[in-house]
Amino acid sequence: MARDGFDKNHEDREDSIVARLLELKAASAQARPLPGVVRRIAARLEERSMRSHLAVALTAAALAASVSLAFWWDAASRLTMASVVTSVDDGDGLGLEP
Amino acid sequence: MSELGELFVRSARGDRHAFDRVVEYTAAPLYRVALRMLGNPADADESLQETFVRAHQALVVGQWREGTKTYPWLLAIATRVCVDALRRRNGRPVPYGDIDASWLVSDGQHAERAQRVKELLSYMDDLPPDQRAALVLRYIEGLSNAEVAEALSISEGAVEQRLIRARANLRRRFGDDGA
Repeated sequence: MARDGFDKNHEDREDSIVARLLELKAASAQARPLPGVVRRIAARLEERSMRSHLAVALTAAALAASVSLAFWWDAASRLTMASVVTSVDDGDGLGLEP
Repeated sequence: MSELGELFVRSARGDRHAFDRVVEYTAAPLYRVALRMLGNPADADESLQETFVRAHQALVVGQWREGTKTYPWLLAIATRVCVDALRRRNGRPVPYGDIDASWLVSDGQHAERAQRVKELLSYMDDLPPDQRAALVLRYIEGLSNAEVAEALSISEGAVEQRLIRARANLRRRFGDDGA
């Protein structure tokens, strides 16, 4: 009997939990998002798309800048090397006979 | 194919107007799911927006395939967004007095019910996020265990475990308060 009594209380409490959850359902049944939700989401997608385009543009610009830098670095290195080779050939400043 | 299915196909091809219609059709039920999981309108609204941003991104990269159910697919995304929001909040439950219950009472007729629901929300706030999500999907949204499992990306056995633990946790809290 005691066991039955325990089970009954247990079941009642279980039922009361489900009943409360159903009250939450009823209380929120008419809830709707704030007006203009479609517009707000469209704006957020637009903003995200623009940020994504900007990120692509910045990446492309950074890549172009690094390629350009590499080009000028290479050119400067070649010029310096050519200048050293010429100096060595001329013995200029190195105490060598031409 | 359903009208929503056709809008999904067009959205996946980059038709932004079609995606606006998807939002129009599904925002209200998904908002209610978020409200029930998160318990306040501000977080529900933020999660709703995040849900559609993720959904749009997933559509355009081809993560939705024709033939896949549309609303359950969105519901799974909304659930993940809400669980993420609850995880960020976890350990810092909203105190009972700070729960925004303005949405629970519209005409003063349901003041008592609002108090009971507010109490439930404060107890649910102490549950781990996946237990709270499982409770809402199973008992409020009326999904089967298999559908809850799909939405939470877990097995049906794991859903059953979460439901048992969630009910036990709530039972303990209501029992402590003599409910």
